[in-house]
Amino acid sequence: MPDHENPSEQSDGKRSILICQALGCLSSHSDRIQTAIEAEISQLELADSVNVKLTGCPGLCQEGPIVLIEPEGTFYARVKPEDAPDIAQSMLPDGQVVERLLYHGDDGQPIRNYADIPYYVKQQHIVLRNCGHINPEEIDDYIAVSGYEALKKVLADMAPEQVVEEVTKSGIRGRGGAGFPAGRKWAEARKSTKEPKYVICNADEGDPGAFMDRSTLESDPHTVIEGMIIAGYAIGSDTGYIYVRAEYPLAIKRLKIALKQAEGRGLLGDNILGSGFSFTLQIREGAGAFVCGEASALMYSIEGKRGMPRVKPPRSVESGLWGLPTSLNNVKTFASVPVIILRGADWYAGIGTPNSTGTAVFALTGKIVNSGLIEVPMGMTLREIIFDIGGGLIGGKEFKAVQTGGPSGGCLPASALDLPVDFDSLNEAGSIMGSGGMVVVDEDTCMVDLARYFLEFTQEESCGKCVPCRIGTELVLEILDRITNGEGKPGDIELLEEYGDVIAKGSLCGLGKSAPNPVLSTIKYFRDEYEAHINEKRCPAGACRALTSFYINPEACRACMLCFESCPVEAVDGWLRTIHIVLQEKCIKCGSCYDVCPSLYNAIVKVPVIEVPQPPMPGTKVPRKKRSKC
Amino acid sequence: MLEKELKEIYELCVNCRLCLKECEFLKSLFETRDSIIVDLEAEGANNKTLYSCTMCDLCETICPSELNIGRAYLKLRQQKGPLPVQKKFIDKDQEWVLSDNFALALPDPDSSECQRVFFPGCHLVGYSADLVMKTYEHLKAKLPGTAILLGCCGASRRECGDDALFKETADNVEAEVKKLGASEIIVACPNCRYAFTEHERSLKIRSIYEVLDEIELPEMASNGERTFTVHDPCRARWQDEMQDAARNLISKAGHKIEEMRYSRDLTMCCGLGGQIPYANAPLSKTMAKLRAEQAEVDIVTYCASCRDALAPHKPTLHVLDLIFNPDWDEARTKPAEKPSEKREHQSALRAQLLEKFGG
Repeated sequence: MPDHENPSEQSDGKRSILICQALGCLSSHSDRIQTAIEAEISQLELADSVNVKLTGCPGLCQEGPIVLIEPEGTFYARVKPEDAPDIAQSMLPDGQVVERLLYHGDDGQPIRNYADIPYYVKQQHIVLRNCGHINPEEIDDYIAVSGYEALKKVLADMAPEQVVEEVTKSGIRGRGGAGFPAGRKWAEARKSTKEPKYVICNADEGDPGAFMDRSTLESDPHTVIEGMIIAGYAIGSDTGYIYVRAEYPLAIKRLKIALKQAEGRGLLGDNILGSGFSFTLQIREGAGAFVCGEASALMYSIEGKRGMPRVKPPRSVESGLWGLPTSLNNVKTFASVPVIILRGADWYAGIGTPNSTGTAVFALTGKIVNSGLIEVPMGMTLREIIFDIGGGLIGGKEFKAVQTGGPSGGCLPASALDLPVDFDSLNEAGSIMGSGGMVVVDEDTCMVDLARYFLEFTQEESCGKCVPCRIGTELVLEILDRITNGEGKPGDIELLEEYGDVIAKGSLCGLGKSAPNPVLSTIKYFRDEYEAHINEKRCPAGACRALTSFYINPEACRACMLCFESCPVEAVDGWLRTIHIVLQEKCIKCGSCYDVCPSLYNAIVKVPVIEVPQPPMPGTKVPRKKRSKC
Repeated sequence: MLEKELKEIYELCVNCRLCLKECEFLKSLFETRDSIIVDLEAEGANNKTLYSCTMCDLCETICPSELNIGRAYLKLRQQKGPLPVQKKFIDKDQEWVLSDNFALALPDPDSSECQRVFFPGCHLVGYSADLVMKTYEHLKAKLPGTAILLGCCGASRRECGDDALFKETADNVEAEVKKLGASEIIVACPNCRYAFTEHERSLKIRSIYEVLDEIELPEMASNGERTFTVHDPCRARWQDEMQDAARNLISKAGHKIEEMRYSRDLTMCCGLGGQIPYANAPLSKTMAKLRAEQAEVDIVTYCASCRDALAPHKPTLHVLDLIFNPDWDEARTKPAEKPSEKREHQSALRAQLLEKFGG
């Protein structure tokens, strides 16, 4: 259950209409919803008793645009500007809940309070505690939910060593992916005698399908800023950088607003809150190279150099930015710090598992019913995350694998569903916790093709410094291309394993070391799929175009002409009441026919190229099933 | 009212929109599948949606799930009854065709036993008394023991929702056939055939076209090896035997056939179905024109109403013209006659039959 304090209850007793304006909902024009609701509210003369405000992401992006009514917690899903009058009416003293906009559960029954939606029931929000509940562009909203209280407490009552001690005791491990204990990093940076020291927030989130850091910055930038100031105080640094990719313009915009507001309140800058401690923060926009998410490359990039990793040691806590001691942490690590300070290390350490304390934030995507941002206690099983929170797979399809950690991570099969999600068990299973990307794939996804996709990504993003990574990823990609094209040779699997081993051992940075993970983990768990491609020239999932043909089952086709109309190359022969046929010689295998064929008929099937059945004679009529009397 | 129909739509409609693309009625009044559902849920928002469907069953034919929107509208019409204007005209028409002006039952005077009854219906007689007379004479010669029954099947009552009167009218025909001592009825109009199968009957029903296709034919009236296209009446949809027989007769008369894309089960309505001219005359005209313009050569059909609807836009003949009408070539462009003229033909046939065989 989300763990947040309600700002509207605390402030002025007004009820609030909260309209998500993080990137997902905003792309569905949720800003227009706000304008429309504001107009209705003022027309109903409710402005004195109702706040209308923008918020960040409440998480369930699938159901967006989302509107929340507080303090009741009413959750409206898929709202459109046209719904504004009804929502405004509902705020009248005798107003009724707008039933049709409520989230509907599996049983078709509406669920009024968002805390009762299955998606939220098992979650615990620490990093995301304020996301979707406060206006990220208003510092007072953040202050109303104990914002900057941790900073005040630290400056007033705690020595820097105590802060480091508290963070160490909490057991929090770096949320960027590697899971290095944050307290230890801080302690080492503090120990160093070189000055000045730096704090860096790594917001260079680059995994395909990941949006945890972006959403956090868009939804609650102040908590990241507060965490960074506390880190500066703890390690003895007066300068911090937020390294965020330029592709996140909304996050950057809100960060800039937040920095200005914090400076205006004396929370940032010289002599913070009269404590004598000074700390300034700057934003550095990255150009989006994946390797710049690696600490040493990121620091080179801030220095204005080409973003490439370097040999370690020395580690960045000794020799980081400009050769000076630097503590670099992830967005979510900083966002957790204020809560750890306020509620205590023991409280935090009590959440999760002994070796992986606290919560994990995931961007749940792929073939899952509830796509969105989630936060769960460490140690929850993959099954709970995917089925209880994620709602299972779209269209009731069979679960095949879950990919965690993005291009550096691995794929885990159904047998791993009961694994507790924490740093160590995922490593043991051949994947990584990563920064929080979690992509669920179903029976229609080819694991060889998925590995190929990630290798294509790492190959392109390899900075080129280490030969094993630069040449190795290219060689691996070549083999994967060959296999998915139906030209795999015996011995390819062994070759992939060998190259994978060399790349992992011979690369300097995390990108290279982990680049083979998607291949090695899919070979480990889905070797039979590789073998089917190589030995039988068959793609079991029917995803590899070169190995798959689309065929219309004449017994199931009802001549709805949807495939006929959707085919971009006129490769479907069809007419009213006439069984449709895929003209194989024209087909470009785009799959649009497969996608539009109604699930009621499921007439289009994927078959191996070498086993396409003979289609019926052109012009064969669809048999009538019923017949009106005549 | 339409719980069953709507449930079926919700369960089986895949929103392929074929009905909206192919049916002129749906196309003209609705833009989306959901707007049709809304109208059905409202039990017909207005008389336009309620009384504009030609009930031609094209929707059911092309629907991948074989849903029939027309049947849903028919059910609503049955609940609401005919429009006053429909009722007025149909009452007047029925009064005429069921009275001594037209109605008649005559056994074959040259045969002691009645084997079957020829029921030409009212439209074909209105189109040409002469064609019916010649057809009957040929039938009687080749199949002794064939009686003739003039009257009405009541199909127009059915289409505007007057179900009780429809059944009564059709029941009376069955009773007359039985009274003549026969158990087989030979119809000339596909509408009659459709009407007699709507309720349970102990009658063998065949079309005159199938019968003519089986027996020896006279010397054909038409000649010249023309090329025609066939317009299948909507009531001949799903009637493979009738569709085949009509084509065989055209071929036997020495002509070629060039099929339209929308033919046989996919045929389109001529615009007169469902009694829509009373409720939506412009739609009725549009449909007739559209259908006629699909034909690249002269049309042959086997429903007298279709013939009259299409003829203003494209030369059209009744298939019996090819066999029995010496003036067939002129008949191709003969305009549809007024109701009063049709009634004259109906009365004339009755008089001629009485004179020839009533003895």
